[in-house]
Amino acid sequence: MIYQSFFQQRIFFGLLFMIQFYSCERQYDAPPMDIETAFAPDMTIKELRAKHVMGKFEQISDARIIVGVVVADDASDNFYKSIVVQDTTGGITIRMDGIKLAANYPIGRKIAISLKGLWLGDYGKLIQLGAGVDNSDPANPALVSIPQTLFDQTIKKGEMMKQLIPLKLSTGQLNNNYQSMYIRLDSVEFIPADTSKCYADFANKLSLNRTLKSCSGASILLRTSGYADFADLKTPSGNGYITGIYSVFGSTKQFLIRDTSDIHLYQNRCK
Amino acid sequence: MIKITTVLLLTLMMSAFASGQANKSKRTVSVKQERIDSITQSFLKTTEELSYNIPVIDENTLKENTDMTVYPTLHAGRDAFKSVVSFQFGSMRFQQKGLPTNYSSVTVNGLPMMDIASGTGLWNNWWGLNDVFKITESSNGLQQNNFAVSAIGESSNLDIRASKQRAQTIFGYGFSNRAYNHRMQFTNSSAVNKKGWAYTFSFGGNYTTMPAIPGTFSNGINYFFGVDKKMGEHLISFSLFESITHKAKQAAILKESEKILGDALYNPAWGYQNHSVRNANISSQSLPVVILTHEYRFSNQNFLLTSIAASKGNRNTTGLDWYHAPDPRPDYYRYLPSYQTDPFLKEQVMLIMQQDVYKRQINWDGMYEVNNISKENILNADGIVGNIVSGKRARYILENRMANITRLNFASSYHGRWNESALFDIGITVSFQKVHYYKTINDLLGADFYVNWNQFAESNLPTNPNSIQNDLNIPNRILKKGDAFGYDYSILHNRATTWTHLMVPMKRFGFYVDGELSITQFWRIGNTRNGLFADNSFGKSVVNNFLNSALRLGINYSINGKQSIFIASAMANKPPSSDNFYISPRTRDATQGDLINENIFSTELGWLLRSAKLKIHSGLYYIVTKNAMDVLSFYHDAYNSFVNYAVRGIGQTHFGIEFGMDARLSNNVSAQFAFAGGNHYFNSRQTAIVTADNTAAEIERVLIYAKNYQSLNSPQSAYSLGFNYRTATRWLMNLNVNFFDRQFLGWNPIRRTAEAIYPIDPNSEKGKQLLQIEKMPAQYLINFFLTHSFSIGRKNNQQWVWSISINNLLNKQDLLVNGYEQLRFDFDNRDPQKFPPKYLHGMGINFLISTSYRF
Repeated sequence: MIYQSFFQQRIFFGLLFMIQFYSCERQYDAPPMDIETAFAPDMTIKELRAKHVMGKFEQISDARIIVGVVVADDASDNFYKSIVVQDTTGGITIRMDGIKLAANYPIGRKIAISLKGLWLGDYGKLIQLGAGVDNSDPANPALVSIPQTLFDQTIKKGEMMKQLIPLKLSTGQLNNNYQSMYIRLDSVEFIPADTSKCYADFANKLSLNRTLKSCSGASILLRTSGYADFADLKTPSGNGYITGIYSVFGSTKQFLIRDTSDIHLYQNRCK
Repeated sequence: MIKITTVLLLTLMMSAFASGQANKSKRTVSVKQERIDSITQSFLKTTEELSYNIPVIDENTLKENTDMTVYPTLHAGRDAFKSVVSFQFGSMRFQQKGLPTNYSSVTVNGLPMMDIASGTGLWNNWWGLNDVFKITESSNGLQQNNFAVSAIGESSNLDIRASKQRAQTIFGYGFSNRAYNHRMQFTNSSAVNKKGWAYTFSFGGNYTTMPAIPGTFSNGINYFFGVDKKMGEHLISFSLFESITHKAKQAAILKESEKILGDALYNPAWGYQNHSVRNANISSQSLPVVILTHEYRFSNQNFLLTSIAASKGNRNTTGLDWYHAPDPRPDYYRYLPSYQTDPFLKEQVMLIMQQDVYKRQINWDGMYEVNNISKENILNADGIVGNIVSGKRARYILENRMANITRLNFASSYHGRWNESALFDIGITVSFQKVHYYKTINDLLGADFYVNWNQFAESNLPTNPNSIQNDLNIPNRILKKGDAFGYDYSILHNRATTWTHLMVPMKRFGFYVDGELSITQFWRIGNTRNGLFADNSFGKSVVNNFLNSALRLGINYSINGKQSIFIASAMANKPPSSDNFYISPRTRDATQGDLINENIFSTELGWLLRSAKLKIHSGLYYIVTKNAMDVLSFYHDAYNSFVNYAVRGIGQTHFGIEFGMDARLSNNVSAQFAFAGGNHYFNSRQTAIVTADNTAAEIERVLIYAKNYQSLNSPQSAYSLGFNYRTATRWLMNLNVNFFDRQFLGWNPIRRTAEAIYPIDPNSEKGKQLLQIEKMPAQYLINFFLTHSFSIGRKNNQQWVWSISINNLLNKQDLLVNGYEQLRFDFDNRDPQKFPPKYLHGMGINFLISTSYRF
């Protein structure tokens, strides 16, 4: 270190005169930003998803890599211990055993995941990627999240993408192929019973569903966690578009927003 | 009844050179200058023993004044017990009589040199200046002293006046693999010249190239300058000194980490940044002290000593802070294999910790990377509506925890003799201390700014939008390197003390009485208005006043010329330290409420034998304290915040035996044996008021079932057996075998509450696991010392001394110095293994080679 070598040369000479230098703070170098740019996927997320049979667990034995962009993180706590990643073919939810994931895996960051040893599973038919299977309750085996200490060996962090463009779909078009993808739904509004209501029950930390209806008549649930920092805010009454992540619970179609900037309901309600 | 009899019985044995002092007629506060030929082993060892211990991070306390270092006191080594305590037990942080440092006192030129807030001696103010700062008088426990206010523990007086130093030049160098590698000191003292002038100067330093514990270092520079002017019966002295230190710390570790890495000296406090080692916890100190002393001698027996001291400087410790980012500490429990339930993943996590240094040490590069992508807009920045600041907002920073210290001290004492039959001393001291505590940004770690927000308060945002503001006076403040943030407050103290000491030496009996009366005031001044505590964080708090007294009585009886016995008792009360009275001074001025003094009763008796062939010191002590206070702060998972347990009603009992023997077996060989055996435990239940730092409300009041728990975590049994071999040609060799037992972990009172245990049956296996304090294994330590001195020069008036000291001769790698239960507790599952104890290991074989040249 600068300080030490500086000191070494002169320690025995004129110690007294060095007092003023000594009290100086040492300047630490800042490391270069070693962000990997060369990512070479050898599998698409769609191909990965195709390996999964609903209700089963599959371990990936090949050393394959998927590359995608983070489209949802835990910054607002609506997503908890998970991030959502997508490429052009599809999206998948990654179960990660840590909080404050957005510090390392914020929305817009390109990441490469080494699949070898990871497991595919689903929670209510929502396909997820994890690190193991917990059979402690044989009736309900569950996917184990990736341990925090193993994040860096599993997930390589890449560059930040400038802009994410959501896939424009109508409510009726949504199906399991669009799970965990960043979607835009146009001409939607909350049903009258769900306007000016809290997104979720913040006080009791309970998740709530609010129903969104498109002008064409199809509806979808907007599900929000009671831990989300915007849970206490009120749903708007206007019509417009929303962006967010498509999700399912069994046969129920759900939509999750990252935060309220995903809600653009500023127009008049449909007639 | 039994207790009283015990006390009475106990009140019959002990002392060192107390009885000798009783008959001593010469009353001076001067240095006992010893001939260079009689440089003892202990004298040589002192220089380095003071710096033996590497500073340690104490995670269990957020207190600013805590100094875990046990400063071994420096003695001429005449007392068989005391020299063993200093030089053999010191490295195990042995606490004599189980008393922490705030029960001892240290004075310099008659001035109390103590931190008023914590009561600990300011030994680190003259760290390294051992050539000048030699203890000239000391008393152990209740033995009489005539230089200052009495303490229950050790009382030491140092005389640093230039004219009291031996006129000589010392050039010393030491090479070691301990806390530092090189140390050098140059000291020059003149004799008093014809015009009455004398001077002393000393300067030196120490430096580390190859640390004993990875990631640590200890570098420092010190200087001393003193001038005396003698004018008739007046002696005026000026001294200026400072010890500038820069030390990187060692952290206590989990058993799990030690097991995974197979390394007892694993230190998680450092990590690589750009391939060079960087420690996150570095403490530094710069605190110059100026002392003016005046002595006037009315006669050989009567004199007035007046001193005034001023010091101003700072202490700083760095630490990591983080906001919306994962915990950067590599041994955080969620990162360890034990957190995984899946056996395969457990294995994977263990492997990566063994293989990847970035996973077991602090990942500085990783923190830079996180900060680099952390783009954010801060609205209404610096409290200016509409002001938007955009850029890389730091998620990790390195902070300075600053303490700016100002101290003013005045002491005056008269020492006299009454009709040949009584000696008396009377004195007053007045002290003022202001310590300003605040944090500043040391390093933004590549980011553009940090924001003065309190992330623990975020859960209150929906109800109180101001809650996250560390300072409502400037909300949303944008912080750059060097800016103050977080907490910002001062604690001010005033203390005035008057004391008197009377001693009546008779032919065989000598008795003495000490009395002391003091007034202590302290208050807090908040410099910020905390968003959660808007009404009681800013401005001056109520002034807390305490009136205290102490009384001490002692009798010496000289059986014959060689043997004497000693009995002494003391009663005292003292105010709580401000650290323990303010529940959370960082955020607000809330206190424990009632002004309760701690009460202390102490009694000792001893028997002392001093003959040419045999010296024995044996003593018994019995000390009871009541109504002490403490504040414990730790991270509480359920509240997602730091929680403060303001504990009161702490009482301790310490009783035990001290025995030291020095026997001359032949002309060359002598044997030493020492034993300290004590029983140190809490004698009452305690109560705690629980508050959190993220809400203003008192959460609960709990009872701590403390009674009969071991209250001490230094060894309660310590033995030493040693042999000295001395030749006429001035070789001295010394080998000591030390054995330590009955050392218990530092305890976590939170675990001994009904709230922590319920509904677990205290008698069940798990209940016992939660309640019992782990005993550390018995340990032994072998130390070796060799020295030789030559006389050189034409008149043989130059001395050249060589010495080597080797500690832990058998290179025991698993030496446990200390251990403590983490305060963080698993309130969900009540699993004591979720936040298991942390341990501190000592060094393997370690040495110091030193040489000094004196003329």
